[in-house]
Amino acid sequence: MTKLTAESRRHLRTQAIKSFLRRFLGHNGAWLGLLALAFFLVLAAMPGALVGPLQTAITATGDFLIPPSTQHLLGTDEIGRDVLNLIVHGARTSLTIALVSTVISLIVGITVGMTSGYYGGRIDAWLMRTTDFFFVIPSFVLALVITPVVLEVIGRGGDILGFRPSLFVIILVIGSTSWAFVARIVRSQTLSLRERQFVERARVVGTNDLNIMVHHLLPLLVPQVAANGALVVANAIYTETALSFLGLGDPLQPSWGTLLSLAERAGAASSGAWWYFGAPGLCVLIVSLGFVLVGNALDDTFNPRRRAIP
Amino acid sequence: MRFKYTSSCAVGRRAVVKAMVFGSVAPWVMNSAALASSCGDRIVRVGAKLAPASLNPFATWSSFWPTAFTYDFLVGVDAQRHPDRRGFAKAWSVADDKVTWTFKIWPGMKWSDGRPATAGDAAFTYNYLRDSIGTPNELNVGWNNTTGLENVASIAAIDQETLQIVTKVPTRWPTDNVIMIVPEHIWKDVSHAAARSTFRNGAPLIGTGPMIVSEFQQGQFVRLTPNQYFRTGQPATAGVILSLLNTADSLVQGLKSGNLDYVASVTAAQWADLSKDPNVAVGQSRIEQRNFLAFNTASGRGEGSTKALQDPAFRDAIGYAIDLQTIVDRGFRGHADAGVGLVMPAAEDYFSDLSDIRRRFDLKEAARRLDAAGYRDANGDGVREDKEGKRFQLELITGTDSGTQEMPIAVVQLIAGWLGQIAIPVSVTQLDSGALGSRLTAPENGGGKWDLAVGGNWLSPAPHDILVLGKRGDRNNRSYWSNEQFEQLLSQVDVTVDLRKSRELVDRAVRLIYTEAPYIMLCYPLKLHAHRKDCIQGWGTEDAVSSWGYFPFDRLKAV
Repeated sequence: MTKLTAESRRHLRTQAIKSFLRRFLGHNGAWLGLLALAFFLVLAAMPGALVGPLQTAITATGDFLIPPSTQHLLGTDEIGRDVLNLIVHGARTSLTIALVSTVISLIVGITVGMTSGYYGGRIDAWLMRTTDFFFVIPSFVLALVITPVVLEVIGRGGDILGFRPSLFVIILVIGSTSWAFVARIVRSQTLSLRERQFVERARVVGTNDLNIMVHHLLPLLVPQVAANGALVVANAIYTETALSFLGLGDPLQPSWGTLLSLAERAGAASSGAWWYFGAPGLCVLIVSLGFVLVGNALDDTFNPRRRAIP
Repeated sequence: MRFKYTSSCAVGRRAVVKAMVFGSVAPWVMNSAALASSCGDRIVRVGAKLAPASLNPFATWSSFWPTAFTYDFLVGVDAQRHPDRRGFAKAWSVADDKVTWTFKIWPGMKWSDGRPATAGDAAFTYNYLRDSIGTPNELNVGWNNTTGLENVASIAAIDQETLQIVTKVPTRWPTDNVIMIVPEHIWKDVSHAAARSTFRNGAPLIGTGPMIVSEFQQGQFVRLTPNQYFRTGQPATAGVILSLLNTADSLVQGLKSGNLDYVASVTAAQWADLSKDPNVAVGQSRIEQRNFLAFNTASGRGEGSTKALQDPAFRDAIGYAIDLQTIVDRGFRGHADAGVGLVMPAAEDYFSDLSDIRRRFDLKEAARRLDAAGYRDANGDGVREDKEGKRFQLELITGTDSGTQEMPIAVVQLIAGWLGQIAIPVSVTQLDSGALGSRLTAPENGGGKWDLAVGGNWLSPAPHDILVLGKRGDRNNRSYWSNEQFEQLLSQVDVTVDLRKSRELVDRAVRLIYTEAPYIMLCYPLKLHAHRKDCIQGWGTEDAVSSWGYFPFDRLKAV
């Protein structure tokens, strides 16, 4: 009897995943987005194997700002480094920052939103006022203020959890400034879910609050969180680019934002070196677009109201 | 009826779109026409990456341009180098006692409002500053400041055309100072407290220079009109518009399109690109900027992460790990002189190449010296340890100091790379000029706690300013280094008028600080500039526009 239920449950789950994938991949945007992301993930995973070790000012061999050629597919920068090499190595930095900070912001957002929605009352009020604070302050400006301060406080070298301190700070800052809207969405969803009968039932049989939240509510929140998480990533890439563009990035570890900043400082646009700022700019565009496409497709798949009626 | 309504609506929308398209294209189409017309009005258009905050030279360092075109120095740097670029004084001499200076002011000179400009105005300006010394409102926060006036015994106008300055000790300050002479009839009613902060000195200004600031829109532009009472005759052009821009790109785009006639400081990449343009002349000229690597030599408060920074042998060894020529070639594309000592090549009277004691780039030699000095990698983890057994992990801070040419980030990459190769890891923090300034201030004022700093400064070529990097407690001393012998030499230089003696003292001080190595001088960058040839002529040959005065705005002409 139990064996049978278990089997049918597994069957149901496979069915559900299959139908989800079928619907998800039915969107052309999803395919495009996934392809773009897979491409850049491969770049980020093995930059060394693809273009060799990161070129620095010491190991640079090329001439200054030469246009794309067979030797340098994307030309060189103002100190003679190969732009393709920098882009591929920059992919790792940019994507790491984007993904890790998104994870941070999702964790914070879900925790705050679910606690606030589930308990309600005073806890709700306090948590939501905190959220409001992060809402009204433009996250980019907040990041702009926090980054130098934190860098000054923990400025010393070494690495924190495998990141250079300045990278770590950027991750932390983006993560901690972009969770507010996730928290709001999760809270509103939790508010409606906690009134459902299965929550009542779980409570009656003596399940504690934490278990209810983790085992009963969280799975139902996944669709919303996944769809919005993709948008958070796109946002994080933009913020990282902007912060690095303003010179708050790590100059020894190129990210796409740092490259754009270097190109601007070298006056690449006015000296006709389109490849220098065009290449990292296009990468930022493609990756953010990829995440947005995937996010939209997820939203369409999960949200019954947006599903097209055949 | 309904059909008609929709169709008219559609036409309206189409018209709007058309108008938008034409609107966005029009500037491109009109560009060539605008170009021709901008030549006709005889106005010189200058672009610079500047952000002057006020026109009050007592309250800000940031408004050298444009106030330097309106106010004169008594003598200053340019007047001593070029006989045709005199300032407020026409001639000057020092008596045999080496402390009594006599300045002859131009006879019949007038302020731009027609009032006579006399020795009394110069005496007023200096005494205005001197009277503030020791008061809570001491005027020491802007371009016109009290530095050097403590050595002055008296400043007096003997008659309308003669100014006499008597100093307490022999010093070249009376001719070397770059204080802007302001009109007494305006400033006598301004209190020191106001001059230090709130008084904005609004346009139009009243000065004796060739171009008078007549309109100032902060963050946008400064309009200057020719001074009809200028001592050598009213300038031939119809005025100057100084565009205050933010990025190197917009400067060069302006030059290429003909909207600007001159741009100060372009990047090496732009310079190479502009040199191919037949309408544009590019130039490079030596300036007084020095770019350096400073070690935090403070002990106790504000000290760095390791005591090694206080050890001359350690600093000397690092000096062998830095390839100055590569910094010039890669970081500046050759547009710089490689670093030697404190003296920059622009200060020709004092420059020496120190060839007998210079360090040569040699990573093996650097490693050998570090080993010899006791900084070995004892535990074999690939990173050296200091004498307390702590792993090296140096924090390098960098940025572009305000008022200096941009510091290329490649310089920092190179230094971090080389130090990594001799097993001293370096982490880099980039800061904006404000944050950099506050971290580099003296430990007593809350600065310090960094290890290495890559920065630059641009001071005058006077011997005091050359040596000020090593002066105890000075705001320009970025390494917090101090040395008794150096202090003595510097105080002797301050009271020496004779050039030969002064040169000898400077050389001794420079050699001392070179061997002690609180700084590694990286390079002396050149100023890269460009100007159009089609509208305005009369630019300078070695430097199209002087960095130290009004030249050539008194003599530019329309083509």
